[in-house]
Amino acid sequence: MRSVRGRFQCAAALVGLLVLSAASSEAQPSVQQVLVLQSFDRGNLVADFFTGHFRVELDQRAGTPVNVVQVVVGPTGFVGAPEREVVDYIRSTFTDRPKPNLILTVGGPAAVFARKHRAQLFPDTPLLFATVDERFLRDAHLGENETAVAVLNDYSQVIEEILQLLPDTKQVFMVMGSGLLSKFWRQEFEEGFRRFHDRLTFVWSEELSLSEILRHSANLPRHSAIFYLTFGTDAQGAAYADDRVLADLHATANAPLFGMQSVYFGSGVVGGTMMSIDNLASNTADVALRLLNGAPPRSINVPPQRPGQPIFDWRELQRWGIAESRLPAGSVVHYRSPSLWSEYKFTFFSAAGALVVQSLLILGLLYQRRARQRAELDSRRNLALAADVNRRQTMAALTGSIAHELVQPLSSITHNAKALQMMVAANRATPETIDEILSDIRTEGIQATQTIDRHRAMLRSRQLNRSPIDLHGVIHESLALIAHDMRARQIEAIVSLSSSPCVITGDQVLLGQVLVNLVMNAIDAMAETPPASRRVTICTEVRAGDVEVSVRDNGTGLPAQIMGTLFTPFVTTKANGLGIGLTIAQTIVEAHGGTIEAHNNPEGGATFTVILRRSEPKILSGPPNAA
Amino acid sequence: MAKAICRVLALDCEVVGSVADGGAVLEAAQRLLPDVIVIDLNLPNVSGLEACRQITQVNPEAKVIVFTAMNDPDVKRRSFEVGASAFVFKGAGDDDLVSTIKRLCVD
Repeated sequence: MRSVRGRFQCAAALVGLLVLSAASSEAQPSVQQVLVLQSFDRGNLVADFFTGHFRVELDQRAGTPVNVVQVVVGPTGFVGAPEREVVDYIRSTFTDRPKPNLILTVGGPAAVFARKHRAQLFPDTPLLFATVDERFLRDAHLGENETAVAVLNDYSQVIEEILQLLPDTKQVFMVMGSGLLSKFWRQEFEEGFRRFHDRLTFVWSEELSLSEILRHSANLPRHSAIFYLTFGTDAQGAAYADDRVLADLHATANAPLFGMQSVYFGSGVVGGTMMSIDNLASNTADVALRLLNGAPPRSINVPPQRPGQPIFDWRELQRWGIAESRLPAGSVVHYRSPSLWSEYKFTFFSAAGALVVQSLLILGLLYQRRARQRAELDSRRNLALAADVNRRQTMAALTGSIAHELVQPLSSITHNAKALQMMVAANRATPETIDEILSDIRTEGIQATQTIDRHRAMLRSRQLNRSPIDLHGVIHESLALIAHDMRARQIEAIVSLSSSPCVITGDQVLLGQVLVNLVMNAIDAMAETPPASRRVTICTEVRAGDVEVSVRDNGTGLPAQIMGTLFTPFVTTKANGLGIGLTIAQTIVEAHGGTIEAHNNPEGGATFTVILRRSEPKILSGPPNAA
Repeated sequence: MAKAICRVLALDCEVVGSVADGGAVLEAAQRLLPDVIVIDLNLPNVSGLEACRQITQVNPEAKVIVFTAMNDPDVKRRSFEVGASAFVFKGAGDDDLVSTIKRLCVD
């Protein structure tokens, strides 16, 4: 039988010593002393993690203070120092203080060292072997004052899991550092992995430096895997911490990385059936406490700890395209990135909610917009209807004027024709007279035609029809419509128009209707005014952006009680008025983007002012007709 | 209009004058002493009815014909009240004014 113990004795020949936590020079008897013999220097993830957890557990559970003295006795300790000197050093550490209450070895090399020098290392003190492979105990049975918390590593299971996850795997790169320990493990593995030789080729790293290992890992053939045991030192003797080696391998390797210790999980290994170092530390602390409390070591028999439930790193499964269906039964997958749904569920619901609310708001706004457009359409239609009614009403009121306007030219035509007929009959018609009479007839005919056209335009139903118009022309046309009525009612029209062009974009007929309304109101307001004082003054003032048209009378003025409701429908001071004229006027003006307002003049009468936006003069509606 | 009427009347009568103002017609009536005065009701300054009233007061011999486009019974009644001898609607047949002048001259 090959002696594992013997190999560990070789490893222990390289002895180092490190005191991490020394007792005070004057030790207190109540403090429990624990001597920890480490196999590896700091940087070994398993040892570091185990020791850290062990101490925490011990401190938390022990009822009295515990002092822990650690010494590295493994291959990375005092390299080349004789073991005897190391033993003496350890003994000298306890010269002036109480002997240790417990000796704890961590890892195989330390266990071998302790066994070898048991007689010199406080033989009466209980010895606890921790994190030692169960195979060590099979080769060297526990003594009277010894007990162990062993582990049962099954590295072949890692290879089987690699083949289960990646059945096409042809090569496994074994990364485990260099030195005596790696030689021991290589022999162990080669024997244990023999049954895989028909399917797998194993490549070993103990002859390579770390940089060569990394380079090799980056260029592995297809269907390869990497098995990371531990590292320690490379072929050049350089020591490297596990976390550094794992990080570099993870960054550079082109094949998935496997390992068996739970402390590697999360550092780039795919996962598998792993040995829980947490449990190991906890169990060891439990046994250590029992020993410190006086329990005989032989009475403590802890079965070796086996690897726990298979655990896998979801990120690595994704990286290497390993389907979860290939994982062993009962596997637990960690580090799973939350799905888009679980990660953004709240965001999704918030966004969806916001979208729904926004959509409802938009729909509401669209509905309101459509309703407003419909209302505006109705309003415009109603405006057109009301304007038609008002215009026809106004024109009806001007019937006498219309008749007079038409009778005048028609009567002139009739009499001129009669005169010409009589002249011809009496042979008194000279060519000049005939020409003069016919010319007069033609002029009167044109005048009658213009009168008819003017009135027909005002009576025609219409929608708002915008075009560039000369507002001065509109004023003249409007005054021409009511000129006869003004004469009949002895109203003097004073027209004071700006010398500047007065072009706006608007509806000529509707704006004419506004002016006729305002002037007719002015005429009505002066019914009680002495004839000599009846004056309507129409002024325009052209400004940069707008034009102001004012219609001023010197009548009775606006009654105070209707000043605020002047433009409200059905408000009137006229006995036979409907009270819609000013409402229509305001609606028409506002439809043109303008304003209309009224005020009483200080000297009597009222003034209505219309302000309309001005446009650049482009197309004039023709020369204004005289009133 | 006045020009056309003057042409017609000039064929059978002597047209002594033509004015276009309510005030001027009073002055012309006193100055020219015409047999017949044709007057419109819608005149500047002095209305036709007022002019008619003043003419018939100053010169009762003058025959005043109200010649108007207002074919209104009330206007016609008021015209006769202020001394008009005849009332002729402008829209009537073209012989009405001449025949009325002739009738008044014969009377």
